[in-house]
Amino acid sequence: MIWKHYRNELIVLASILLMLLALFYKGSAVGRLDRVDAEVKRSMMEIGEIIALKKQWGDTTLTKKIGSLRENLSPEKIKRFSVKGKKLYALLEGLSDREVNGIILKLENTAVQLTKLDVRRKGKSYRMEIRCKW
Amino acid sequence: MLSPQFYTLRHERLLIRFSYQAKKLAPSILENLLPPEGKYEYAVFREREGWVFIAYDHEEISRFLKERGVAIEKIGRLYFAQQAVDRFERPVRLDENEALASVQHTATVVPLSLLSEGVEYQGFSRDFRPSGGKTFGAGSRSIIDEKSTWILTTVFLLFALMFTVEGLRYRHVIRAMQGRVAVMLKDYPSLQSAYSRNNIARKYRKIDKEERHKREVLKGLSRLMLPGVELETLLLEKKHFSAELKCPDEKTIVRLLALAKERGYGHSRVGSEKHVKIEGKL
Repeated sequence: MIWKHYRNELIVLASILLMLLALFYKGSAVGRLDRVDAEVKRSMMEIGEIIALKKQWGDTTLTKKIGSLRENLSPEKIKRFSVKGKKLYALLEGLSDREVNGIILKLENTAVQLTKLDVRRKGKSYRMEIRCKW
Repeated sequence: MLSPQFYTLRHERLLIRFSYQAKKLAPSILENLLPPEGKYEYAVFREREGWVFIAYDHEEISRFLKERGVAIEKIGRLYFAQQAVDRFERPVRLDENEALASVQHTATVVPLSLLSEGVEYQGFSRDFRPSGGKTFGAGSRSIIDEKSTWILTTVFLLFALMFTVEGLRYRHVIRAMQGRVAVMLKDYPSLQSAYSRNNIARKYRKIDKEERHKREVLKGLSRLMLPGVELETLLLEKKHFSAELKCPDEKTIVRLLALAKERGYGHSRVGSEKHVKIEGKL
């Protein structure tokens, strides 16, 4: 057996191989850590973003909050105000410019999807049609 | 373990501290005792107050082993009977004629006839093996000596251990990170699949983008409401917006049109009155 003559070299070679294997193992672990780190960061960011967006645009309390549009408006000005499911259709007439401003400001600050906002001047007052969903 | 036929030995009292120094002196100390035609290798070890110098012929031993049908690769180390001389106080019988015994503290092959009749022989066992020996068949052609082999092997194995521990630590960190995401997803099961997550994200990002734009347009239009300007109509739909504004004078119209242009809105004058139409896409 020739290899027995070179036993020392073989022992050293085996230990080098073992070290290289361990180095490769560590290298692969580092590579995987980088990949997982990037993946986790992306997932966390994505999840955080989705949760925040969902909370904003899918807020379940919006059905209650949307009612605040008719606050401070006299009933005769509200021609129609119907909330069906997650949709609103409102027809308001005889509004002053200040009231129009106030309603638009409320709409801006409420996380609803505006599908139609139609404001028309009728003499000295305004007629307003609002369609939105959430 | 080699009996004295296979080596030449000399005791010397020298003031030498280390064996590598003794090893350097070995050829000159044994020079006169060895036949010139042999190719010798040397071994030294400390004994009592002096040093023992040994010369042996590698080829002679190999030849002998071959004759006896022993493959030299099977011999890892050579030991010299002198190394275990204290063990031979009671002789070890080699064959019908000879025994190995300690004579004046030297391991010697003695004819049985010279030993007294009532002498008790002892058997040879592994206990005779001394601590250090000479590498023989296995590893005999190695460039790296045994000491260096163990040093290098230890260093490489230490590195291997270090890398493995580090690798395991990284794996542990990976598991902890994945665990954190799993805990978060536990509260939102609908987001567990990347596909559904992407769909939900796309849906809400679109809504967010469109609605923010609509609100920016409303704010932009409100900034066009300069002093004296009155709103005639405002229409905001899914894809389009328009507003008709009534201005008090020509100067305001010019300013309003400039502001609308600055914001990138489409603008035009309506009829001969001081009405301005602002429009754009959403």
